[in-house]
Amino acid sequence: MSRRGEAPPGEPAPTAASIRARAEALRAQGAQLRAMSPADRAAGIVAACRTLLDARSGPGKRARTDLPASTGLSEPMVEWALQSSLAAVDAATLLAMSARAGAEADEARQVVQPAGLLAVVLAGNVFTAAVRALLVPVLVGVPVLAKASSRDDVFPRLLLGALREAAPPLGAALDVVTFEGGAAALEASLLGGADAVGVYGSDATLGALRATAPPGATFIPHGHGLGVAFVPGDALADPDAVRRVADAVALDVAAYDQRGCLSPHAVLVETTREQGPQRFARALAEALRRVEDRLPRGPLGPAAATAQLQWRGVAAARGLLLEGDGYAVSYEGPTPLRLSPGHRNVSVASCGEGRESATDALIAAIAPLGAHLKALGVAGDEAARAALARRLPAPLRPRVCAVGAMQTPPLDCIMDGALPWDGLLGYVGLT
Amino acid sequence: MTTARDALGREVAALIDRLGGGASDDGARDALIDRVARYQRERVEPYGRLCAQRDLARAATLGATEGWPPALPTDVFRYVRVASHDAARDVRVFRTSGTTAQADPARARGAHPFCDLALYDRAARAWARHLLFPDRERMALVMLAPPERDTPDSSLSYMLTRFEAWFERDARRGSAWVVGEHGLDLDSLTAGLEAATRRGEPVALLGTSFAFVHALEGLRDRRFALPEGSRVMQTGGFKGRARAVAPDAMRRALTAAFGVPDPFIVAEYGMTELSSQLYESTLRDALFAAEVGPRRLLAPGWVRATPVDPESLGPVEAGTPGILRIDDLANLDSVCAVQTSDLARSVQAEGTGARAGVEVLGRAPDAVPRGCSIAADLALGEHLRVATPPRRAS
Repeated sequence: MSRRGEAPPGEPAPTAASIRARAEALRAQGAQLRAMSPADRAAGIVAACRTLLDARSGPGKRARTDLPASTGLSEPMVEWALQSSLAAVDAATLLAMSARAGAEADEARQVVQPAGLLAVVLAGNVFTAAVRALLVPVLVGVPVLAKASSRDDVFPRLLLGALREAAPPLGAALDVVTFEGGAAALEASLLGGADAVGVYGSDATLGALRATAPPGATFIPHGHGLGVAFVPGDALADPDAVRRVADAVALDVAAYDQRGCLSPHAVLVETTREQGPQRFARALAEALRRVEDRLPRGPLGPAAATAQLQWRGVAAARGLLLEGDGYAVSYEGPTPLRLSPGHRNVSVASCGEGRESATDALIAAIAPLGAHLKALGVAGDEAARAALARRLPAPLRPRVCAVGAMQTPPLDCIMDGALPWDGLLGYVGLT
Repeated sequence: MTTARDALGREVAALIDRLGGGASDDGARDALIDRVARYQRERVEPYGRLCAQRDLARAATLGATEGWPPALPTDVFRYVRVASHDAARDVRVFRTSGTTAQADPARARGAHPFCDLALYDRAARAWARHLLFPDRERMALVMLAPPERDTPDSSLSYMLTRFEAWFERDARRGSAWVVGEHGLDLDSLTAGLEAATRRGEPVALLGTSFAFVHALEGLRDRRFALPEGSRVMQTGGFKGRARAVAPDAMRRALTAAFGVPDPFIVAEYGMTELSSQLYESTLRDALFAAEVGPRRLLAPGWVRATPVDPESLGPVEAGTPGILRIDDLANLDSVCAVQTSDLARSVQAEGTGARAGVEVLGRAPDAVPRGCSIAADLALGEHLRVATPPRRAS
């Protein structure tokens, strides 16, 4: 693990010139990468993921020793995150993605041309976000120069190490640099040589780096956001169903200690004769207690603990607060919802009675979130999710999924309203 | 007929009178805090709810904290009315500055309603006399803050206007107020300081840290040699401001600009949500002690200032950083036990026998990366608004 904003031990601090040189070297590797068959690229990626999954391998061992400290997550939470994000990476999925990405073009009229180099700026909040950010470009033949978060660059470097160990030609098409965000000269070098620029970060970071990126580069934004869960009344038909839904939502809340942009901060519940938000809040608190036994929350820093203390205090003073060791659920009645400080603090609210009016209230509640709403978990079947997705007005484009799956997006799913390879591929026209 | 409130009010007033000169009686203070908090949990609805739920939580997991009534987080003042009386009886409502609200427009300003300001005045006067004006009945005051008439909901402006009545040397002419609706009036400030220098009479400059930064910037290289005995009281941090200056750098700059020695520069810690203030110890030390002890904020005897663990809510060990909890008995008509968000540690005056104090370390930094959803919170404010659902039991 490197210290905040510094290159890892043994690696000289990056300079504008060294970053440019690394970018040029990666671009040169592109031909070799694209010469590989999709099947070989997929096989190499799967092998790297398996290496990290294997707790006995070098990278796998380091992941389990270093990540709890760098991320602040508990060891079981780190293990869960590794398993849920890496085990799903299989050759069939990758090959299907590769085929779909290429199939966008009409071969008689267009030639698919992968970007010569992607520069990607990673955030530090959910370490496994690097899986999609780094591996999908390599899969479709795009070399990647990544700037890891200066607060936590452990996982991107482990992924790089695993790729270099398991599939050297793929590893040669990926590189990771670490420096403090806002270093203008370094950022200009990072982005200056790229055909595509992907950025994970706040609105301010996106704005600044969009201005720094070359005018001709494709900009792929992944701004900050949050998730919301919706529980229709018919999902709570009996006590078993209540427990199932509560367990699913609790897992979504607990995953990554609610620090991710897919993490639900509010659960909106349709009120029925039998069920209401307060009763679901109690069930959710119980479920969070059960999750805590299995996936304990990591330690809180002073700022997080202070924010939590204030948030919980307001909840207790104006409504119902159900708190335990490492979690809290609030129900504050018919008042505007307050977004929680994360770290397994979640609000439950009613969104009215009757399916139609509840759905209307849900959409009215989430509409102002716009592009910041990244995930909408629904306690309902596929048809219910599809019906809700069709009603979402622009620019609401969350990933609509089942509760319990909010934090485990498949590698090939749409995120931020875009396909995984959007911005990575261009086309040469033949007309 | 004597009400419970009147009886408690008399006890608090008597304690302020007894301890205003700097004495301590922790036993009497803590016993009265306990009784006032019990009175308030019956009469201040949100505090009653908080206490009921904290009681349950403590019984379940958090352990007992005997002698420590639940503290109301300052954020609560932004969301609900915190008072034992009806709004119709308000004589004044102090509101937070709005710097946080500017950074995050959806956040409301905190409000602290008063039905009687007598305890506020008594507490403010006694402790300022003890730590800010211990050597002079009256002196020339220059206020780097707007007067009460311009900002009637500012507790600082209210307090400084009372200071004018209590401590200003020239009651007929009044103090120099150098912050108006257009901001800092540098000409008035300069004129006030030049006049004090000409007269050879010490002056007290009182205001916000942010106003002092503006003053220093405006004065550029201009230097004053204010007469001996002059002093500076600065209050407030830089929350929500674009510029921030470290406290020691600020004091050096103030010394250089005004010729006021370091111990005569005193920070005040006050909050809209409180009725009493804390002041740094150095001015009084410089005047009356054999040596100037460690710079620390001293709470008056009717206030308990305690760094606590933000999760267990229990006091942390001396010297260990914790979140500052303040029990202020002058908060009789709201809630006396208040939980701030400020990181602080207790500071002992080792070997001197002098009173221990606290050092406020600012807002807590976080070692672990904060979540992107938290950044979204800041960007979005409170956009999640749900239409009022039909009321029904669940």
